[in-house]
Amino acid sequence: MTAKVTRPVGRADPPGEISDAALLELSLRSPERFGEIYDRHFREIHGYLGRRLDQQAADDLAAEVFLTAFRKRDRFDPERGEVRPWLYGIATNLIGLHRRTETRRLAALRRSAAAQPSAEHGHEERVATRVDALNAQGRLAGELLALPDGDRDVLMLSALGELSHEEVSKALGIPYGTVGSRLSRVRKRLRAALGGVNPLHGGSSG
Amino acid sequence: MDDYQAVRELLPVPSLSPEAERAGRERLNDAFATKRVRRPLRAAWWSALGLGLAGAAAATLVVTSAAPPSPPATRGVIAAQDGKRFLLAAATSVASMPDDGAWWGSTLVSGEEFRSPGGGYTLRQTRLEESWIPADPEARTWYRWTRLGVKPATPRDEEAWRADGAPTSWTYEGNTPGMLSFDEPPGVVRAARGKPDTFSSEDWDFRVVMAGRPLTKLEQLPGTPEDLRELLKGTDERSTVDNVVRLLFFAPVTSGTRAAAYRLLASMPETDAVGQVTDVLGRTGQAVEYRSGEFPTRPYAGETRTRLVVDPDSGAPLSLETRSVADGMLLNFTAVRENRWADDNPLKEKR
Repeated sequence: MTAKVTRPVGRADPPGEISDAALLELSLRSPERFGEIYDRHFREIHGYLGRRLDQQAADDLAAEVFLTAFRKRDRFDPERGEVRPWLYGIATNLIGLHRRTETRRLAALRRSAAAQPSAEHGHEERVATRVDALNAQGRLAGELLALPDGDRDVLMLSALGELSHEEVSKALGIPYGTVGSRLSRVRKRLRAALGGVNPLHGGSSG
Repeated sequence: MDDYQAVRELLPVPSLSPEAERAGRERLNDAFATKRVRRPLRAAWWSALGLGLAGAAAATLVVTSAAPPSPPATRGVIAAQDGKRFLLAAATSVASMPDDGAWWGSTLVSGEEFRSPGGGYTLRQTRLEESWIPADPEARTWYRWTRLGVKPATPRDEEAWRADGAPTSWTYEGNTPGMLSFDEPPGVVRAARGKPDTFSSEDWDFRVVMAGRPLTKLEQLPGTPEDLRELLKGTDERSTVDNVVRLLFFAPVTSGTRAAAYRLLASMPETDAVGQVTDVLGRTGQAVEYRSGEFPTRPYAGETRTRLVVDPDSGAPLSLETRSVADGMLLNFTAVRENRWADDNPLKEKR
């Protein structure tokens, strides 16, 4: 496993800074040390939740992730991976409790893309490209919407959280091989839906 | 073309306000300050259910509120207004229901109503949702979902539908009303019933979760309305009502806890007595209404009223119906055909 260290933007990582895992262990006796875990990862976990649900849910649930992690900190096993993917796993399980928010969000994205009128004045060709792009964006949202929850979780941890296969496997408690097979299946579908067009840039990049 | 990049651009990072970050930190600080002595049994369940790594889950209820364990303030007297006495009767009936079994089996009919494309009549879309939640936290939860289709909502709507040529599919310009069906093009709603889809999941359906307190068929769940109120306390009284109702409808809890939930609802000023009503499936029951803090499953921005219909004789919850205040349109509903504890799970045996 590659030891990928990700820190919130703007935070320096001075040599010899205490590791997340060591902090977690310290927090067993001094609970307030857990606050440093929060300070290090809150923004990132909030971002992940907000991307999958919405900002309000992210405001609520991001705090919940850290409360859960705090309560479960004695169960954290450094042999099984790092703290960051562990937090992502907790966040993903919480998203599982809010599937309807996620589904609504994706459905709205799919609809708004599909319903976008092409009444934009301007170059006809440009308008056509833009409509294509919106259609692709709608298709992408539709594909995400139609994915089985487990597949969507794996995809989002990989695409948004940038977790490695191994980290995804540990975060979700599923076998390593399952991560790979789910991802390749899902990515094939997404690529087909996108059809070689980046839905937001409109231009073909293939 | 990079599919990952496309996903990232489709779902942009939300802004994070310093207030939200600080509020979360304060909740955590509260947890540090009031950290309690660990209870071994709960801890064991916690690890078995594992919100995090274990991958197992419990049918539980999430209260996203802080709910820092604070000493209960003066406990209100639990008393019901006259129109809500049926809830006390329901509590008495349900308290004597058997609650042994290895599986909590639930058969629900859910759906929503919307106008036909021309606006001439109202259509109702329904789904059958069967779920079997194991008492054993290591076992899988089984589901069978069946799309029951779309039809005119009432006899009067049926007349208008016939006059419209009795169509079996409807095409909307732009948005499809109601829940989307994944296999239809956008804007199209079909009348046809779907095939049952049976599957099982390691994850339990977390419909009811207390923050940090998984609720399953645990004996330590409160049996009194006052304690239940403490446990289910939401960010405001509205979400407390929602939590209590979800527990009644969806959670595999003991009959004693269910009875306490009815008593608690009877005492809450947020619920208004409605009297005798007919539920969405045509059954007679008694109802209360309240303003839910939850959004209806189909996008609707206006104010809503949620009606809880109960059979006071059996103590069974019958339906949960959310309507628009503006025009009374039934936005969505969940009706309970049956909720029960059983030794066997019929879905599992089919596989």
